[in-house]
Amino acid sequence: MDVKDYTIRRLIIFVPTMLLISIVTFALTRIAGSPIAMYVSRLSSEEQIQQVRELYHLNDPVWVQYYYWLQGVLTGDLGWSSTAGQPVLDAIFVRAAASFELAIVGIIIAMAISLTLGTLAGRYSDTWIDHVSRGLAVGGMSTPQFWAALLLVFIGYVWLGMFPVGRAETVMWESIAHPTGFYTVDAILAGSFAAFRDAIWHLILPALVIGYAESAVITRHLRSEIVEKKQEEYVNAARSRGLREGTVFTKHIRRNALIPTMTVAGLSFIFLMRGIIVVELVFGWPGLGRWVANAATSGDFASVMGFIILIAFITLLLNLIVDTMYAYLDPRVELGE
Amino acid sequence: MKMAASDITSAIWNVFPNQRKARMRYEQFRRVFLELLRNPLTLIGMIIVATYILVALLAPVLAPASGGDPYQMPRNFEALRQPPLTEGYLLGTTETGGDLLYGIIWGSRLTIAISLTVVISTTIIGVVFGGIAGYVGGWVDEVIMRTVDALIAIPALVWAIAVVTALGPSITNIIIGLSTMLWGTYARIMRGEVIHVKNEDYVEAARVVGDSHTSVFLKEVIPNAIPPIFVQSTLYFGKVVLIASSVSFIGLAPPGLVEWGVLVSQGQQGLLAGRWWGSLFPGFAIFLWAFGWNVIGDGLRDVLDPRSQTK
Repeated sequence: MDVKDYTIRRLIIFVPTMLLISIVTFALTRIAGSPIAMYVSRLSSEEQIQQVRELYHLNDPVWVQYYYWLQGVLTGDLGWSSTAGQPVLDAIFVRAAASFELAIVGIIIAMAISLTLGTLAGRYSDTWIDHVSRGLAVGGMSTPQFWAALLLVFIGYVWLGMFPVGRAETVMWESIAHPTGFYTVDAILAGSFAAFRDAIWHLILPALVIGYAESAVITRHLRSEIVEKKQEEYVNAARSRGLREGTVFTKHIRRNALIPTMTVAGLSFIFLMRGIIVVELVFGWPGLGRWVANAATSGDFASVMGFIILIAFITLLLNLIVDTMYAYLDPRVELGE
Repeated sequence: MKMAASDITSAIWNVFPNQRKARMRYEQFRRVFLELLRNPLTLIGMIIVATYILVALLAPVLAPASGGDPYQMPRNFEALRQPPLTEGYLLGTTETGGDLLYGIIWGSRLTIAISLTVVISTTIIGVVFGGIAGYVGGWVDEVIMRTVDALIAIPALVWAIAVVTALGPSITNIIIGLSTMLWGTYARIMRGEVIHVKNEDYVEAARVVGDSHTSVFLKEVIPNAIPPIFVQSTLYFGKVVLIASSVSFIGLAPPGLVEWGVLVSQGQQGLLAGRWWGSLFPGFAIFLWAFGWNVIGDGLRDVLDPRSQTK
């Protein structure tokens, strides 16, 4: 299969996969029973209940209800978020910037940790450096993120009194325009160093929790790629040409190990989304994660569904982009089966 | 007794290669186990997991329940928010006067129950569906694997949260949420293994001499798929508890349960006031459990997968 056919095939599969996700998600809401209880109370008259039933097509068979729901989703109507007191789509838009800012800083930290640890572990494999790096990576994989977040809140806020919780100093931020919703970017655009410092200060702890957890997989991957590449013929060839060991490592081993590692890193953005729920909850971060956690505990299913659809869409899209890019970059990759 | 010619040949086919293979497999397992023990980190992992199992088994002895449901935290309103090393409360008490040590000991039973149920059920579902997909191929394969793609696009935590929101907060529903989601990886492993084995000469031979699909499946496919499935399971034992405790931490488990995530969540209330123990100890229990399994899985992968083997 050539790269173009592969991309087209993947694009075609995208639609039924998304449909399947929407069906599964919708089915889940109906297993829980009729959603009528969300709109009526004990005081509602029989007539009012009938009106609601008519309005939301609840008298129709389930697949008709699904059809109406899907129609809504496709036109951007994901329902009403009772947690946020606004339509689900609006609730997502309002909170997306805060979450993505946290995610991006998180992934920068993850990359910094994993490139350092992975390179060292690969270069000095089977030495104590390798063992320490492995311990740290497995530690990152094993740490419950909500627990790590609580520990950092305790150390940074209660103990040292240095780091704040929440998003920002409200007074300072009300004086600044928010064209992007990304606080760090907004501060730079407004030319306020104090605001920028404040934004970073609030970001560090939650981003550290997410970054450390995400770094584990990338570290392990980079290490094993480097160890594998060390054995390659072309590395020996480079050595026999008289290149210095350091040059061989950076130019021939590490560079080639980084390409496959980047795809893992690209996909880890997805896993970040799961860390974001508990970390935002602990740090009081006004993003998507905290909203969906609160929605879940108060039975606001429209919000949870909207979140699933959004995350699945981003995940599939990222998968598609990463796989296609990889196929273009590395002609040896086998496409399809 | 009369035997058809094909029965005899298939018997010969089966006895000889299988006996040799069984021996080889036994040798392989022995080698894997010995190599695992040589890795100090893996050994630590095994000790951690063994300790948890022991604690869970001995829970009634280590922390006798005072009647009623032992999985509900007993409260002592005379001993609220006691710090660790208080008389009678080695790890201190919770905001509502529960003994943290009691909670961690009985919570280990819930942890083992959750991870065991999820790992076993996802393995069975994944092996069956992945096996069918690989063996039958065609549109059946396509449908099953696209379903797996769809499942993998939803993070397990998000799905578990959705399931619990829909069905109500309980440990059973957390297990349902995770079991319906996490079988995808097993299905992928199994399918790959089946496709690989399907094209081998000896399987062709077994089919030609009249071995049934089931017997080929059991004798050739399953044994080959076991090592990667094993690695995946060891990693899942830790991961499942990390996700499940996140769900209960968010507040989607029955309150008062001795589940570690619930305990951490309760501890959070006292954290800003400086009472660190309520969250620290149960959270550390989760960490240790996941760490133990992850180092075992990591070591196992090193031994079984020559690609990542250290040289």
